[in-house]
Amino acid sequence: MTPSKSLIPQVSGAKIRSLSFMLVSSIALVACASTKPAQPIVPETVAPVASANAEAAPTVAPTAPAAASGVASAPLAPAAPAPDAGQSDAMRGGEALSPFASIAEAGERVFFETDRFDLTDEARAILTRQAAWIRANPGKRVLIAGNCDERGTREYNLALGARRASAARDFLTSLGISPDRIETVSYGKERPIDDRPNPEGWAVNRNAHTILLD
Amino acid sequence: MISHSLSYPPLTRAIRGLITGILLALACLTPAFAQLNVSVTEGHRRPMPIAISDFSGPHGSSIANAVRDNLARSGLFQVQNPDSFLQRDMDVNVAPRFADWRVIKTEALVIGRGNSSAGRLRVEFRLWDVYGESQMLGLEFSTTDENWRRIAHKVSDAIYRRLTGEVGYFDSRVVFVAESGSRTNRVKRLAVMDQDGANPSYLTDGTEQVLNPRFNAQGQQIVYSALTDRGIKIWVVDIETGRKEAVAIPGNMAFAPRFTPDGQSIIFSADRDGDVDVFIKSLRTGKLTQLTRNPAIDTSPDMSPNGDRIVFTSDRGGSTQIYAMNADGSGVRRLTFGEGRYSTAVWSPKGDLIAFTRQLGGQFQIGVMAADGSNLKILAEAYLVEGPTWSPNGRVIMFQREGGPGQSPSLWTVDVSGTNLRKSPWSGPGSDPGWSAILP
Repeated sequence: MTPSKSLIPQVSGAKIRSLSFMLVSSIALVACASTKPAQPIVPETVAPVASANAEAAPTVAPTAPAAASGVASAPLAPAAPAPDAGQSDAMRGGEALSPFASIAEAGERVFFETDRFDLTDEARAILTRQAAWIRANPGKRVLIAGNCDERGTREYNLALGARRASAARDFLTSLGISPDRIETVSYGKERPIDDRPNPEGWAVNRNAHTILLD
Repeated sequence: MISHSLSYPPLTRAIRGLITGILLALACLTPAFAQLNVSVTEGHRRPMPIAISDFSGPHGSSIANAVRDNLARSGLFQVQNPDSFLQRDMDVNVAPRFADWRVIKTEALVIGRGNSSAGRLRVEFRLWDVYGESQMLGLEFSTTDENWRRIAHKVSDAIYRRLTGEVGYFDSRVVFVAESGSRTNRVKRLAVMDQDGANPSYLTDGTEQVLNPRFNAQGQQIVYSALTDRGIKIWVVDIETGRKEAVAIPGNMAFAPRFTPDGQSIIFSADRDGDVDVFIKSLRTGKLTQLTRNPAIDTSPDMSPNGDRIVFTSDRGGSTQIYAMNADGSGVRRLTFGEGRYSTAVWSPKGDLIAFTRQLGGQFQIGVMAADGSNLKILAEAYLVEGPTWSPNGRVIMFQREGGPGQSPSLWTVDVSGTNLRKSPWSGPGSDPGWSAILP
């Protein structure tokens, strides 16, 4: 048996523990919100062996645990509702009824090139159809979620997704849709819709998704 | 062949003399052993053979196993198989029969003993230089019985420190995101474990997708962002009380948070109408300050340990690169110029190095460079690697890795030397590791 083999029982033991923990925790999901604080463990010098001519090791001074620092924070202010959502669009008046029964029918996603957030001609065409539907449904608000493929780092992709959502929003507002009727969010690479880990799947996952709110 | 003493313990003068004589003869055949130490800076040095005997007393063999695993995973030690030990009758207060340990060519030996009374576990151990025939270390730790693994980590850190001259990293924790579910419906829960994968616990229930959790320098609070349908918010959780509080930030998208080194503020990025910039918010006063004002993406900020510089990711130059600026946002300087896209810069605990993620040629890499961007070195590469975090002593980097397309993410470590790449003992899918400081 080699030293590395001697690790095997320990590793599999850890697996068993974590599996059993997951079972327990899935039963009590909410009740697991705290973990044990790290109590200081203070070393002391062990007296030297009588027969050995070794000097006692110096005692390592313990480090006092830092006091828990308080977190000053307040709940986020609630998002302002759009009191007259759609009114300004409606007041433009005279718009024909949308030829689309839903945003999905108009086309709910526009797609982007790798690491880009500029709108393609096809994306503009889809957003123009979305604008027609939004205009024809004055009481409705939409959420635009920007999405990225998995070929970027997590935080950068959150930022890139925000840009994609904003690019779509800006195009809709340029068509006269009130910004009050559009919320944006980025899901970064956290919510792919295509699980193929290849260029085809990545292309599908690079999108801005317009979702009906309320 | 060395005969085993029948009169042991205690060692008789005669037998000691005999053993010493034999050892002196052996010593002449052995290369320099005067100074027993291990280099942590060089890759591929010969690992030091070390024997950890089972400790006597409660949790004795478990403690010894945890110490063996710690030292073996460091890559600096060749941990001897206990089956090969000749001497089995160890007593922590009696010198070992060094000759027996030389037979199996071990250079260092650890003997320990535990006692438990009234729920308190006391563990004492000695580290012996087998060829120098001297004690290198003798320490005792005590804690509550159920905390025996922390004693094993403290023992490991003490041995590591005595033999390498560097502070250890074994008595530390890792916060991370435990993942489950399909790739298109991912559940991401905040989790904490010991650095060796033991004692995992969950701090969130999975209703929100938790991203990029990080400890404060004091190790008692974790900051993370949580993604929901309508936005992404920054939260601070106290691991003692389990209490979670949202950090109030205007807008619906604040992410990439880290504590400042003093633990008093959060540095992060937030979206304003599609423009992501770097901000800092004091947790004490609530004051919010915008540090970058640039139409490009500025994200993933990290403040240096001495608090005077901030590294961040920006695409202001056309491609994604790493920049540094002063703590007030002035003095922006680009650090990376090479091929590829650079992101997720993070300072080493000493502030001398910066770890980062690079995308190049369809692969992802984890690398380190000097604080001024020079001496760039790649440590690991795969289909996806990202999110490096430093061990508290700055010798090991943990990161998320997907070995190939479609694979689940898992946590891996690599030495800053570029050697000793290995998977974390945490066996489940995991991402976004954040390593704590050494526990008190």
